[in-house]
Amino acid sequence: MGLFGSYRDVRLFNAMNKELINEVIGISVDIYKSSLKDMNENLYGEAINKVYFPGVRIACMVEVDSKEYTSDEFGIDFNKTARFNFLREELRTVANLKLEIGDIIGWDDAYWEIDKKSESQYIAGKNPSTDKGDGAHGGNFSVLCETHQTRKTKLNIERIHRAYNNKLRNI
Amino acid sequence: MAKEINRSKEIDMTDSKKAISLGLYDIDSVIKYYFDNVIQPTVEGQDGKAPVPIIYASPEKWKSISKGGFLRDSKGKIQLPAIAYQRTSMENSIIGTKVDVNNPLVQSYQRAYSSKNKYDNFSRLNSRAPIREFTNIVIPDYVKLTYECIIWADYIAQLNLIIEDINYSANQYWGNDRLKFLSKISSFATSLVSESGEDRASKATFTVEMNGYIIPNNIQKSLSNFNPKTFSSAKIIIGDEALKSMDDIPNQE
Repeated sequence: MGLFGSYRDVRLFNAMNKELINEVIGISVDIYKSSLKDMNENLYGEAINKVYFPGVRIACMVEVDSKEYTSDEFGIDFNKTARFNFLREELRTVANLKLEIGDIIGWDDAYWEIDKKSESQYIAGKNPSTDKGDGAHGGNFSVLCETHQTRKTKLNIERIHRAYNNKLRNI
Repeated sequence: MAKEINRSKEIDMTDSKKAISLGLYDIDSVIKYYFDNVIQPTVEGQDGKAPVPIIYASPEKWKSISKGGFLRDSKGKIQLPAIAYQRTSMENSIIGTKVDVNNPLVQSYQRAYSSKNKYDNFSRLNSRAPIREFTNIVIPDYVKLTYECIIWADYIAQLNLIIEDINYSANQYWGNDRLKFLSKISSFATSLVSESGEDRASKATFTVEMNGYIIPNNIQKSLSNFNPKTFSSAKIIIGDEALKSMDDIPNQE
């Protein structure tokens, strides 16, 4: 039995961090989960018309990297990565969802696709769900997501105003 | 002593400077025109059918960002699909030759009617053959141009549609109302990019060979004996008629 990391400690950490990300930092993002039931994938494992559940707004901490510009045949383009750090307790109680790779996060007028997810930040190094001890110490504290900015044409969340050719409208 | 004037050489050559010319730019433009107006590659997007824009590859930075040929989102990220092409080589063809650039061979065609070749009854009545006007064009430099094209799409399913559209027009004469060149597309190479930290994208590359010709409007041509316009000489045809006596003259009344 550990001296620290008891249920009361974990509750204190969660309460403090919840206040920190909601009241002090105050950055909110929208999480879009795919509606797998409504999406038809093709042979190549891709769905052109994606369907997402309505976005769920939740507070988190964001770390954004600078843009990496590339210049090729198509002109200048960029890639940008960001890390979204969620409080696990907040995800469970407020959003009631489980983040997965491929989910979309909407923030700063852009959409970010989750590439990597880490849920191994344990308080006192223990995860009560899998701990072989008494299971009353430690806590699975956070969900850290590494993302990249994705193209809006890949999503079906926001209407993209293409330069339509009038002839094509009648086809 | 006054200089002797040869009236036969005093021809109004005002339009001579407008000799027909055709450059690489025209042939490059034909490809974009053909894609935009004839092939019109489209994909099924979230709003139904959407056209696929085509640009000449590697534009200047200001053009790429401020006046890009295709869609970018509010952050400036390129939205797909898109097509880019660029000329990679020019090969001289053995068809046709000017023989001597300082005295080039020309192809001539006659303008049907002009200010000097009017269609009127007066000429018919007087058996006058009017001046005919010829426009001369230097024998072109026949070339084979090679273009590398890249299709970039979000999905393989979209890429398939674009390839099908282009392949349907392969090995045909590409051009606009003025120019047409025989194109040749042999193969399409496809690849899929799916790396962590980047969007999954599918790409296809293909080569278009255009059998074209160029007629430059350069100084050497101006200095040569080439004349973009020539005229025939006017003729009055007098028939050979003989009468036995003055009494055989037809009555003029």
